[in-house]
Amino acid sequence: MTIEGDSVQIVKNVKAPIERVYRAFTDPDELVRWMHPDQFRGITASNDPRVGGRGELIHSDLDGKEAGGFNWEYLEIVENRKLVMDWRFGGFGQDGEGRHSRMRIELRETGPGSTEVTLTHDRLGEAPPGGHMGVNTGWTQALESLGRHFETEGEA
Amino acid sequence: MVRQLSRGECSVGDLARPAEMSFAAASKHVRVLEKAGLVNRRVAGRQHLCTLRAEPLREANEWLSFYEKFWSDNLDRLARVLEADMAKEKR
Repeated sequence: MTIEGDSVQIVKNVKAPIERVYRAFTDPDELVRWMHPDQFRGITASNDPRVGGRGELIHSDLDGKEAGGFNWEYLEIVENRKLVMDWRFGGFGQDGEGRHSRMRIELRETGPGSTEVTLTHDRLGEAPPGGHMGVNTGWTQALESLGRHFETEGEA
Repeated sequence: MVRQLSRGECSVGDLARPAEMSFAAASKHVRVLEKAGLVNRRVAGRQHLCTLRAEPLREANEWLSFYEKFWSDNLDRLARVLEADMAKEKR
């Protein structure tokens, strides 16, 4: 795991064939099974894995109440090898208040039935975690402090 | 405005120009940032010079740690889900 500039990178070895891992990143029914914050669940997803195609994933809290999600647009695709996406918070039609970032998934076969996943989420400099994602981060606190200030100024 | 401040100390006038704001509007923005603890302002002659306070921004960088943990947790979950599937398929 590394944090550099405004990007984070995670490398993880998964004991599954590369095609199977690729499917877990591109098939909506697979995405809802694993891509969600703790204390939330994936409820619906759709995906169109081709350059210019879009996808989204919506989360709910554990009581089933919809809580937001992600949406993305593919910038580059090499089947079973690489996915590059423009990444935004919220469902379709939301650009996450302009918080675009870039997601890159690279897959490499490390043996029979074994795949190395390299996930690079970068251009995060202007993408503080939004909505249910941003709980308890310093940035959220800073924005809340700003928000409170505007409120009190409005009352003055 | 914050991006410009991140390059170093500048006057309220310097901040107003690229943002195409009036001096009064820029001054108001700076006051908000100042009250939120993100900016220090000092008076030098007729100029008000502003600097960014590093500390709250360092806290802001926590969001990178947040993403790091988020994706690390998610890839762990992905591995668990797929490895369970593989075990099931073998049976």
